Amino acid sequence: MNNSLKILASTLLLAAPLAFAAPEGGTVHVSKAGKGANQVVGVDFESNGDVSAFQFLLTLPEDAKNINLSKCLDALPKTHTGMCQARDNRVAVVIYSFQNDAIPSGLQSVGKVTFQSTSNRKPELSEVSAASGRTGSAVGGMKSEVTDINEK
Amino acid sequence: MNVNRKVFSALALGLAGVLGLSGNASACTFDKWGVGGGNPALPGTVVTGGADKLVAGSPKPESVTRYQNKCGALSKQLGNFVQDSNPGNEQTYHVVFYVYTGLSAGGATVFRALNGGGTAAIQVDYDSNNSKFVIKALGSTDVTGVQKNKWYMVRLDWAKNATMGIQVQGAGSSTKLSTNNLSVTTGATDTIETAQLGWINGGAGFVASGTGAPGIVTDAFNSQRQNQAPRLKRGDADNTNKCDSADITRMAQEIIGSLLNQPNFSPGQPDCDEDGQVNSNDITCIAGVIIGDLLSNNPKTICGD
Repeated sequence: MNNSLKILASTLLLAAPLAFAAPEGGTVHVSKAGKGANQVVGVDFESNGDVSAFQFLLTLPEDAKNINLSKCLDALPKTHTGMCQARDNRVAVVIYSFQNDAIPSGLQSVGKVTFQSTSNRKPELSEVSAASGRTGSAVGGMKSEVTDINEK
Repeated sequence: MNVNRKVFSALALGLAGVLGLSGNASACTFDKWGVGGGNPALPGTVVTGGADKLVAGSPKPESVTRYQNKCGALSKQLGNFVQDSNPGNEQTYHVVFYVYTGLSAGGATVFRALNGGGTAAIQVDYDSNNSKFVIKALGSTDVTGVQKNKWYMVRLDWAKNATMGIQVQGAGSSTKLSTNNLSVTTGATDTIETAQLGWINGGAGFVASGTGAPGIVTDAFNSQRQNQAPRLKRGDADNTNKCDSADITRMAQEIIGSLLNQPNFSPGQPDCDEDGQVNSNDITCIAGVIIGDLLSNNPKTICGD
């Protein structure tokens, strides 16, 4: 599992300058690594420098079980906190800052979710939205990207 | 304080029948109470004000909690209430309002709708000693589990000679204290002629035993003739009629503004936990609401109907 995570992080960091076009609001990146019983999903957020809070729904394969959220927010900057909660095969995530601090421009790791599944389906991202602490309102143009490291 | 009610002139009656129109009042005023004839508004010593500590008509600055936008209406003692005598011969009456249970002891009558004879066709009493609302028409029912110093929505759907629909929800809970259609029947020939809101006295049967701390606060009154009055979405700080991360940043703006003494009030309902204060607990609360909605099969059930 640790090896998978290293591969995931490395892939994202290496790919970032090439693959991540500057979005209007930001992009939630989800990358799945591992096959079979033990799988890991890494979550990163590419910020435009104005986003203070964001949310999304991550849908894992239908047979996902033993979903481990203990590291779901592990990589957030100290300025931010959030909530992760799972129901069935869905994981809801909300990230925010009590001080309305903006997430600095660029790629920011959020954390990882591990689970067990016999399926090798990629997870799905939905309900992605974000807000600016500067304006107190929603940020448009949010994007999402799902990658399967095993396919690279 | 936001007040949203029908205009009861003959012309408006016709329009309301077709379009379901209702009037709007600007925040922080009592303008819509008593407008259009009948008895004048009776603001008495009710004060309206928001957390910006600017209170209209009050001799000194003070803070009044609110549910929506900038201002709530504080009734500090018995007899402080507003009245609208414009309703005329209403045979159906749908009303929602928000009440802050600011009594340290005793009770208060917080809402009455009077018939043509001046008798209460609907009455809502808050009993702080027994943690309940007592809701009366011809009969009476208790809504229990009501906490002190919390905001509650009271929504009533009244029609003459029928069972009245009653919904009470608040204190940051995502479930209602009561379900629809408790067994309170209404008068066979009653019509609604007058509405009163605050800490009411006069007539028969009002509750006079309360000790205000700070008192009864009301907000977001809305009455309609034809359709159920909509419930406000708890935690929808930016007033977009949905709960999402933008509400978090809007709340944080208000909290930071308050800490810096630079008021920056949210236009919607930032008091997610409905405790009368807007602080970091509300951010945590709305994050939980968003999570609940994301995981819900019906995304509207947690944020509000």
